[in-house]
Amino acid sequence: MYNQLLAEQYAKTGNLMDLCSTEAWMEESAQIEDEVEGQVEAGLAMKDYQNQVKALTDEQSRQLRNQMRVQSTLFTGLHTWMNKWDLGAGFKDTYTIARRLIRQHLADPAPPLQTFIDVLLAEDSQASSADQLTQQQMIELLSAILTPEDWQVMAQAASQSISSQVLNTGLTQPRTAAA
Amino acid sequence: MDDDHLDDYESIWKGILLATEQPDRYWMWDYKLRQSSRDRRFESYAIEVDRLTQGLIFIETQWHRAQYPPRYPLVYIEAIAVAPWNRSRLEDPPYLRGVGRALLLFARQRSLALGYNGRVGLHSLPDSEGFYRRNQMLEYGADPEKEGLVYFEYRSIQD
Repeated sequence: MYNQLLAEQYAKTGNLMDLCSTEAWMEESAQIEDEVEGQVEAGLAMKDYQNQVKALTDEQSRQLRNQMRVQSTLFTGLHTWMNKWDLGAGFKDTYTIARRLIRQHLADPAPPLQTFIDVLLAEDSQASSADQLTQQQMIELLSAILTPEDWQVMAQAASQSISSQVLNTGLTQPRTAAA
Repeated sequence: MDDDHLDDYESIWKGILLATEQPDRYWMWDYKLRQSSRDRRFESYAIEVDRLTQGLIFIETQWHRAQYPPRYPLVYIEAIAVAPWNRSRLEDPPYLRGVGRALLLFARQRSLALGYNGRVGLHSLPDSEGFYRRNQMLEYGADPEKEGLVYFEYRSIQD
C-alpha cells in the first residue's frame, strides 16, 4: 500500500480504515483482488482451506452461494426482529443460539422455509422478492420456523447471559464494611 | 471475532468441504479465538457484511520482530482468509471484493495503534503471493521454518 497515502490518512483522521470509504481505494482494491482471483490467504494454518476452496466444483460453488444468500436474508431479518425484544445483555448469546437453531432447520427445511428458499433462489436478481419481504412477513416466517422447544432454548440462553452479567458485576465491585 | 464468526466458518464456509469429507483442521479458528481471549498477544477479528462473516484475521502482537529494521516489533498475521464466495475464481462477479485488502489495511492500523509504525509481517500461501506483491509488501524469500512459504513485510509507513 502506498506509504505516503497511508501516512497522510493517519495524520488526517488517525484511522487508516477511513480509506475504505473512498471510491478510489475501493476501486483499486477490487482491481487488485480481481487480478489475483480473490486469493489472499496467508499463514500455514490456511493451507488446507485454500486448497479445498480451489478444488470446489462449479456446482459446489453455486450451492455455497445459495446457502449464503438464504442465511444472510434470514439472519438479517432475525437480527432486526430480535433488536426489538429488549434483551440488553442477553442479546448476543440469544442471537448466536437463534442462528444455530435456524441453521439446524435449514438442514431439513419444513414447508414454509422451503417455499421461502425456493422463491429466493428461483430469481436471478440479487434483489429478489424474497429479499424484499416486509418485516412483518419475515417475523411470520421466522415464527413458523422456530419451534416451542427453540423458544425455550433461546429463553434459557438469554436468562443465563443476563445472570452471568449480574453476577460478574457483583464479583467485580469492591466490598466495604458497613458503616 | 466471536462465536457467530466461528459458526459461519465452520458451517457455511466449510459446509461444502465437510460434506465432501475433505480433511481439514476445522478447529483452527475456534482454537485461535480461545487463544486470543486467554493470551493478550493474540487478537482475532472478522469482517461481517449482511450478517455473515466475509473475512477473518488472526494476529500476534508481541513476539515477532521485523527483518528491517532488525528486531523492531511488528504485527504478525498468523492467519487471514476470505469466504469462498468472495473469489472471482469461483464466482463471477464475486459477492464482495476488497475484503482481503481491508483486513490487511486493518493489520497496518493495528500496528500503528500499538506504536509499531505500520510494520506488518506474514507468510503468504503460494497462490496469494501476487496479492501481497500487488499491495507493495517487501518480499524476503522462502522461509524454511514455514514449509517454504514466502515471507512478506511492510516497513514503517514513514519509510
